Amino acid sequence: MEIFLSDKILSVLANKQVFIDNDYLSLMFQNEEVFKKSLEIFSKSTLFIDPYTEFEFLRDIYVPADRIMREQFLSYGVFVPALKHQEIYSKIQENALLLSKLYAHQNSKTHPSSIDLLLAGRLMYHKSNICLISGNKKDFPSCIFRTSGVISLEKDLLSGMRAFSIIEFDEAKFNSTFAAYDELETRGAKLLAKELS
Amino acid sequence: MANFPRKLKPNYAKNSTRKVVKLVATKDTIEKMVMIIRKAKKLREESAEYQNGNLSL
Repeated sequence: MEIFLSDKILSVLANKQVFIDNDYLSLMFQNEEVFKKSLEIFSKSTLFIDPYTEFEFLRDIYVPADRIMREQFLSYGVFVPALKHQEIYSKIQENALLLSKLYAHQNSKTHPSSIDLLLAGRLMYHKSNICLISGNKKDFPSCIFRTSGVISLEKDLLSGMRAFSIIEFDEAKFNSTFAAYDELETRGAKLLAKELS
Repeated sequence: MANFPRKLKPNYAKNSTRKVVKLVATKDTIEKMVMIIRKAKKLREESAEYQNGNLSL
């Protein structure tokens, strides 16, 4: 398997907390070469697993031995479990709901899963020094997030190229999108309050 | 009409510059994880064989 890295990706990833989406985590679990190469690529980062990503990784596994091996794979200390206490979750959940409204306002045609929205809410919560590697860039729209790098994988001669993006929360983009949404919501609320009064 | 509508505001961590602990994977850890990857691959291949009827229980 050939692995191609975008320009300066190693410096982008240095000293970052990198959250891994389920698609990349599954690829690491399925492919020894990707796993070993990932340890090199992320050697100056910390790899985090969100509890919802762990849930996705372990769900719907039919063979018990497969699930046990997946649990063992996560247990070796290469992956750090993300904070999951209630106080953080209520904030991440509120961020996720706000982001879903902004996506809808931006006429985004994509409808990310609840888990991807919660991951986006976490990226927003920590906002700096944090990124996500995901093969689903469309679930993290460019009106809020920026792509800082790409890891491309060519599986074999018959398969096409699979791209995984390094995605970061962009506060300036968010502020601009949020301001437009807030203005619309305030205007709408005033009109509705007048009609209902 | 109190609290109508409930306004959502962005929530940010107070301390977003947590120290990054660099990935530490010893040779032993990597070997164990690679062994799991190989075992899981073999299990998937066997499972596919059972489904195809090429192996019997």
